[in-house]
Amino acid sequence: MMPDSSTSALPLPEPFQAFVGSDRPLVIPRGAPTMADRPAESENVVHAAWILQDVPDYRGLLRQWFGLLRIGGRLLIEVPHAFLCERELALPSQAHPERRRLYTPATLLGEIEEALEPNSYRIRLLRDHDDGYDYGADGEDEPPMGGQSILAVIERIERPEWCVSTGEVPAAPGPDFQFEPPRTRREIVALAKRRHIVILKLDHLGDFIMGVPALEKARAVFADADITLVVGTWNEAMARDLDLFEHVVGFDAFPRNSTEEKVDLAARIAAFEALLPGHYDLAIDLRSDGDTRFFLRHLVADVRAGLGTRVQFPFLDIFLPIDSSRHGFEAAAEHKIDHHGHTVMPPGRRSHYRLFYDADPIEPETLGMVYFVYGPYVHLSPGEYLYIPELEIDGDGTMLLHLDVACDEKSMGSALATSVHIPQFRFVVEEPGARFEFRIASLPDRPAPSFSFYGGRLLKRGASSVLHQSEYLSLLIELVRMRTDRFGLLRQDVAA
Amino acid sequence: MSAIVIAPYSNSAIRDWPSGHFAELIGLLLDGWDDDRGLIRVIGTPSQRLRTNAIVRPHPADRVRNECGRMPWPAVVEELRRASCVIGNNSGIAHLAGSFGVPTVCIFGGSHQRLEWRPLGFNVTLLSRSIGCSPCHLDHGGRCGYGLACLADISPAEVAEAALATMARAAHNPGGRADRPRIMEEGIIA
Repeated sequence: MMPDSSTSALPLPEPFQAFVGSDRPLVIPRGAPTMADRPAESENVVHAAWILQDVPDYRGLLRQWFGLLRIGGRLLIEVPHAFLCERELALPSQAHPERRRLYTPATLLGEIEEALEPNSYRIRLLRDHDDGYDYGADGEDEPPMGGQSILAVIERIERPEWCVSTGEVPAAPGPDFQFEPPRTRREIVALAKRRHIVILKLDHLGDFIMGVPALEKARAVFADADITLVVGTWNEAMARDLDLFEHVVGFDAFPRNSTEEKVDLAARIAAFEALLPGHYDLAIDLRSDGDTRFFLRHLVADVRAGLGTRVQFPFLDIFLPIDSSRHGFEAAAEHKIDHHGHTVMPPGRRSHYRLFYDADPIEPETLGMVYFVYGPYVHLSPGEYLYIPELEIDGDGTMLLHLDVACDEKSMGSALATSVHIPQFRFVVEEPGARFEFRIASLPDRPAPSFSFYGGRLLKRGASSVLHQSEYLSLLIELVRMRTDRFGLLRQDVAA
Repeated sequence: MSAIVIAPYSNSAIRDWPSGHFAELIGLLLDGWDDDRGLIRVIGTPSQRLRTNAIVRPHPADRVRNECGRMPWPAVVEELRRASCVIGNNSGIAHLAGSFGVPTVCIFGGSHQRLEWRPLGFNVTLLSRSIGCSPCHLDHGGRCGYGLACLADISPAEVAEAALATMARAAHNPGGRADRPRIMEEGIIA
């Protein structure tokens, strides 16, 4: 039966008896359960009945009661069973509005695991206590009779030397970052003002035309801003005709025809500063080439934006990192694959600088189809490749060798080679990590010529995935919009 | 009732601040938070409940709750929306809270570049460590030769201070949220 007194000692349920033995339990009073005045590790048995369900800090109380136990001592806990006592699945309890939590064996066990250190205890008993419970009574008029609680017995044990692993690794001093002292950065984001904007487009005619879409976009996204456009004087009239911006300023950073005069950009700095002395919230350089990007530094501006990286232009607050290989050759990567990584089979032979076969010059031998050389089994990333074997074949052009290239043992092409024609192999790798192989073989029923193989060159095509200048510049304007309007600029938190 | 939500786990241990630091942080928050009745909810999956016990254990149960596995996802989202502050690692919860405009502190490990992967949002405070091995792009904590020094060296006191400052800053915003983002003060350029 459910207890109705807040102070009376409750009888021990029969299942607890075996854990009490001859010891005298310390009974936790329901009205004052903290027991702060009791010495730690002084009790053999502590009995806490019908308390936990009504206290706010169950973890603190469980830890406190547990702390009263000597090693080997037992904490006997009894709490009302949600399904038998309250007969409810959620608070508030109609019958017991003071309840803070409802219990099942699982929830009680969960609280014990939260409160106590692993391996400081063992659970010796956890069970429903329904002795004499009247399952036939509907409980509407009278509270249910009989056992209606959950019982748990926790034994305090000596903690072992070893610990339950968290899976975390102990920290060690990390290497210093050479460019900053060791510190914790605290950063926040902020938007930039965009009331006064200056855009530099210090270009020749073609570049200016290619930049018009970006200029139109700038007008659209910074609709309310006062914008100054700075262009070469030869583009000034065209810039005014666009009728996009409040101000158009002519400034010649370099001559209209650069072949006519020596270009001295640094000599133009003073004129540039004199022309644009005001303060700008935002300064954007829409020139693709980076040689005039430094003019941004000579503007008084809160935020500077341009193409490139901060490695190239440390003064940029917003930068669109463009593909650094865009000016490179289409064959972006070339690998020399020497002969060492290949296998040579007899009658082929190996020297320190080649793999070779010496045929009898008088009566060349017919060998059947012999694979003289194969390898090197290097792994390739997806892309378009050209393999150029470095191969010399003796003879007058009538003696043949069979060459082929394979990836993951699938042929990517084969061809016949003679002293006057060494084929090259173009192939496409689709899957990452494909295993590349090149083979040299004789032809069946034909004598093989003498040859020397020195390895080969593997070229990968690249740098074709560049954007148009108009697209780069329009993307830069979009990036500036996002940073200043939506995502913000990362700043040191000055409050830190 | 106001709540600080703490999400100690990402999908990769290389991005997780040490659990002992989280436990210490909670103590500092309880001491420093001006809402002396506010809750601290530690969230995660059911499988993270045991680990989280070690984080909540030293603290009073009526203020600090192990919610791992207790809330269905829609309830988690709602909890994040209403939170006074969300504290997490470089992981989805910080991104989500940041996108809501909730005051968010992201303890950002060194495995990735913060400029590329930081959570966006005008009430996000980003904490990261300047360290020479970052970014390492490792994906498991056990492979780090420095015991995640990039995270371990960010102290609980620094995170607590950042959280309290982020909440205070948000309290001065209209609505307590970053509905109206801050405008950068003139001259403050990193």
